[in-house]
Amino acid sequence: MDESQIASGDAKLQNAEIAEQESPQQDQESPNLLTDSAANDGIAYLPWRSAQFVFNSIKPFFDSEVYSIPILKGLITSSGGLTESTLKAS
Amino acid sequence: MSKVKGPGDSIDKAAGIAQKRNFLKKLVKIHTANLKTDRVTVPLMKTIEMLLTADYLSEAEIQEDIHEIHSLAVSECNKSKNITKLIAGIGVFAGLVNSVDAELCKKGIKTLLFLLYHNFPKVRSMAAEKLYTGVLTMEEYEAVIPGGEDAYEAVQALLSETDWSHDAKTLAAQTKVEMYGFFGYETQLKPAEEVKRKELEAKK
Repeated sequence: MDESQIASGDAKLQNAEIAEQESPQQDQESPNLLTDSAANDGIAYLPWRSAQFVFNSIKPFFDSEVYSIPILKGLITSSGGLTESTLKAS
Repeated sequence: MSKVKGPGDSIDKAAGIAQKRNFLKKLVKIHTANLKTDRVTVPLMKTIEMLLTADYLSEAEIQEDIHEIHSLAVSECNKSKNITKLIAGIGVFAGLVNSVDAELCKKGIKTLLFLLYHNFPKVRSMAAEKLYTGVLTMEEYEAVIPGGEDAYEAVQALLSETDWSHDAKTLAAQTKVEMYGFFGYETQLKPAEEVKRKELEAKK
């Protein structure tokens, strides 16, 4: 093993150490939405029980290849529901 | 929703039809995946009825796709004893009566005729009401009622003057063959209906 190889090995080691030091900082910058209580509180705060709010929120996804059929099915099923507010909103 | 406006805000008809076709395919997909699931199919058929009544599906180019909707509604109502579902189905078939596609119109009428002699009085009454409205609002009845104006008026009279809540066998014995004949169809009475017809003839 020559000096240049040892030097490059050292550089890699140093880089790995730097990455380890930086990673906790990155985690702090991008909070995990599933575990972060503040984010959960925010989602929970939204009026999910309000049919008007929910139907308006899903409108942008109506053209989506993945979600259009479940959304349409949900809208149709809601239109046949017994709750008047849900029926009107759908 | 996607925009169907072409350059200069003119409505792009081809894009509109393609979008409607795509929408119909989605409806068919939902119906196929939830066949006999009343929770989904009953409101679905009501939605289709609304779309047909509002002339949203009136373009000649999309009538082929509506044939599939008819077959699905037929298989959904077939042997069903759920009155709500049968009435939702009647709505779909009545919506097809005024279709620009004569074949689809005939299919709708034939299914309504079948439901006109259903065992449930409510179903019979609703089928008669929808068929009467459909026949009354028909623009060109020659393709559907081969007997001409006389037959057209006789159909209206028979539909409106008959009490469809009476006994099913008596109704069938009295009017079934005549009613089917007005629309150019031949039908045979069931054995029980034939017995009833003979009884009624003997009384006369």
